[in-house]
Amino acid sequence: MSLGISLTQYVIQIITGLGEGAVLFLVASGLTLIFGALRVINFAHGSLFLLGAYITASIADKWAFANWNFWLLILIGGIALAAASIPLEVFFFRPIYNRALLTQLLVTFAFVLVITGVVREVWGNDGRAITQPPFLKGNVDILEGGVRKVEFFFMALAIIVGILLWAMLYKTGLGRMIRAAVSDPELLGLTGVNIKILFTGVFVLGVLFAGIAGGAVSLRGFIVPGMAIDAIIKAFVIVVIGGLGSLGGAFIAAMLVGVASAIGILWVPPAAIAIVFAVLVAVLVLRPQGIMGTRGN
Amino acid sequence: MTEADMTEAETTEAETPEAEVTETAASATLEVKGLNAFYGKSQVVFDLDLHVEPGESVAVLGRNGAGKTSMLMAIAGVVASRAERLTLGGVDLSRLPSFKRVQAGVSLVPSGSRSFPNLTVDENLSMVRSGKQRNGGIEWTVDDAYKQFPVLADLKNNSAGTLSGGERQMLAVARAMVANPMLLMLDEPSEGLAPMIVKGIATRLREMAGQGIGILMTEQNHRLALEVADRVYFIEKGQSVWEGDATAAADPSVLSQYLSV
Repeated sequence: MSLGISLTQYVIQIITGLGEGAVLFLVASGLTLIFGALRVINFAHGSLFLLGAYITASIADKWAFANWNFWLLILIGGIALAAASIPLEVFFFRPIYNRALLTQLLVTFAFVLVITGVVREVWGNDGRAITQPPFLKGNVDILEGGVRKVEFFFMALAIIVGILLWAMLYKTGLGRMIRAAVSDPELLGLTGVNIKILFTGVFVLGVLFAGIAGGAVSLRGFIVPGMAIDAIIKAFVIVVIGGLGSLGGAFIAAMLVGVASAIGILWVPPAAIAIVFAVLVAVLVLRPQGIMGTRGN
Repeated sequence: MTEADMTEAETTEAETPEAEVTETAASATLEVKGLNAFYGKSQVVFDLDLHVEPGESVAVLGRNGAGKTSMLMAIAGVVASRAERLTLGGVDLSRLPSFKRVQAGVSLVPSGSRSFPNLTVDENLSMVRSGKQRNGGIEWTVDDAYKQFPVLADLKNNSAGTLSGGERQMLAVARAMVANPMLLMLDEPSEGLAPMIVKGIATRLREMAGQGIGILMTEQNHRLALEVADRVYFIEKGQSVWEGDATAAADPSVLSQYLSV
């Protein structure tokens, strides 16, 4: 293999990359949902993900992650974050839905600073260790190496959340309204739907996914404030590669980005993010509308 | 919107005679008095008065940019407006948000045959919040819409984005139909459609009017309008300049005065 990297290392990085991709999918699914329906580019989404991780970690301080309760604690963390995001939507996001991109960028970026600042102030700059639930500790042996067990848990979680989200979007009345809002919110209002409430619901749902992703990441055993920026950059690349507002596209793109960045770490660790952007450029050259995007969106 | 308060006291006089209420299905008069509509800070409709009786078809004609669309959007609550009086069947609409006006019986088919292109035809129809049973027993269901527009039944599982212009307009009218409105408003319903399709839609509109639904449509092209309408308003620069029955409006001198460019 090139650069003296063994096949084992490649296999392990690819699997780890899929685990990372699974987490990124959870973050990006919320982002793409919010962008698709609300047409707002929420730069604070990665910071909400970070806040979700710390909230869940604090919950885990009180009731330690055990094999039976960790999923419940993640869900509680996600719901707590989602509930806290209601006033955020009502007072700060609702007024900017129809505003210029720059206004949206400024307002949502302000919340990147505010939320990250709050996290650093409350929980400190250095990151923190979390006791993992026992059965997610350690590695799964593959060839001559090992992949963290928790990465497989992320993959399973992403698949379950993906299926639930798909079913919600395509099999329920709420999902139908959300998809209608993606194409023509004004017309949706003219069919008698309360758009304001629907949008609050979509926003809160998107934040719930960010919170769940954050809680899940804390199962790795270590979280740092820097996760927010890393997550938002990659989630954006995923949303664009996948096709704006497309769930299936986001899934494929998340796996692509996860693996590309894992392999990048193997090649040139400091420039791993450059590989992610190389994938972005390559996809946009071949398919400007994204993997699953439709033209004109 | 705040000036609407003054209408509160007068709302009772809008009641239609009781005999009519039991006879016709949907009996609600649209009364508009002194309507002013705004896009941002610029005013586009000025002191407009108009009314639509139950079962009556009214066309608002005028040149491009005369304020027809804004007028409909203002009645639907999409565009900011102020009115001395804006009531449907005596219910004050002026302070209701647009989705509540739909529930109060106002349905607007916007111009351009709009639909939700990423949803199937069936999803487009079944997502409508219907004003169930409001029409005194007559209730249009999605199945009724398919009976009225058999083409749509065949295309039920296709995404609306794949439909032709005519099919999309049928879908738009069908969607308004299953909302079971008391007042159906259509913005340029014949725009860009083949004469055959326009005829079909005209027939459906007449049937709906026959059931007591009030119809208010705008047209730049008077072909469909004069075929369906009982009464006509001409508007210019956001103001009503002529009112009369459809036969009088069809007079070439009237048409050329208000419509020719």
